[in-house]
Amino acid sequence: MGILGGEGFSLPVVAEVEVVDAHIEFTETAKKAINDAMSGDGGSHVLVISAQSGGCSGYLYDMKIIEDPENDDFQRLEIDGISVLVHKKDSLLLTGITVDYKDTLMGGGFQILNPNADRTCGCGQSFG
Amino acid sequence: MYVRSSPLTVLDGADSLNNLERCLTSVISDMTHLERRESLLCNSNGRVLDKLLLAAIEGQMIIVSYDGSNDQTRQILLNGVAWNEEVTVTYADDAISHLTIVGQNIGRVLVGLGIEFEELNKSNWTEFGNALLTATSSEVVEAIIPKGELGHFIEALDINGCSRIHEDAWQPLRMSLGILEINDIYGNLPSEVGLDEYVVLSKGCYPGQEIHARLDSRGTASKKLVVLRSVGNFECGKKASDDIGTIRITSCCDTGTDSLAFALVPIRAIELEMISIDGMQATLEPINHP
Repeated sequence: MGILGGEGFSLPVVAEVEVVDAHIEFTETAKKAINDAMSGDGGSHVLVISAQSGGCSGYLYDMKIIEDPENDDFQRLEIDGISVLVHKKDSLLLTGITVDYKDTLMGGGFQILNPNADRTCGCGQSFG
Repeated sequence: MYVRSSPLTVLDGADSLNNLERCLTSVISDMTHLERRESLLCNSNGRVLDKLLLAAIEGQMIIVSYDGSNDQTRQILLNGVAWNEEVTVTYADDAISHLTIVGQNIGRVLVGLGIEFEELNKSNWTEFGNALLTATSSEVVEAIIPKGELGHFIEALDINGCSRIHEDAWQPLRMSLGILEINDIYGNLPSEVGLDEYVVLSKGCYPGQEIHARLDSRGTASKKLVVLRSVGNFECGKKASDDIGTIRITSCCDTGTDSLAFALVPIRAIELEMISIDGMQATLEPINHP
């Protein structure tokens, strides 16, 4: 049977989260950088911005370009022809952010400014 | 033996180990079947929120939490799962029990159950039927066991000379062995409470990492957890010492012959042998963790 083979385990537990309408801004340089990254796949692909545990401050930002999942778990924002998806569970954490892009040799790349974060880490990838 | 009130959680899923590791102060994603590790969950200020005892079971992870008072650890685990991660969190409080067996003759007790103490170690869990046992030291064994089998296990230990104790007897026993509990460590830096070994600075980012790294490179802890003994009675909380200023007593008990306390004292005080607290004389000594 093993230690995990008995009775008394709960059903899988999910986090209760508050869902809000996410508002996200992009700077002009960020929009250009995303369009460049999408390389013409804008029709079939979307940008997903999300948050996950970890980092110095508690949460980590993540951005991915993926094929449009086309499901109701995401909020969809159209920004200058770019489809941006935010999962409903991340909406409270990410609403109000501004995505910027810095083209510098050191510390460059996408940067997220979050006025609602109580704290951020030195590298800017983590917030809390 | 003492049956702990530890919350038990099971993590499963392809991304469960990576998800858990992001939150902890040490590496756990490379754990193999039946491997045992301990790690810390800290806040962004580097303060300990929980200490976790981990058991890897064929891709799943049993998490034994030290913090029985609230559900903060579980909420952190749940809230941190990314939208595209396959992680299942299951509560096991009604399925598994955690107990601690302590004593100078643990080997004699366990051999009566058919367990060779020499086969137990700190790095792995050893299967005994459906139970898992691990030795923290020569005097401390941790066991996790299906709740349905707990009664028989306790009975078997009792027959072999290991009696069950309850909270009032556990406190002086665990304090005499240097076993910390959540009230001793919560809200403190790992280095203040002797938990440095669970912080791996080369691991990369985790909540509190910046604070721990800064402390490691630029400074030392300003406080340390020590043992106080006195013929008087201690009380938990902040106390004034004429010799060293404010201290904080995190645990205290009456041993029958004297009073024992764990206290956070200014680092400069750890060289002293005796201090005065609220007019009471107390000896001061380091904690010998098991």
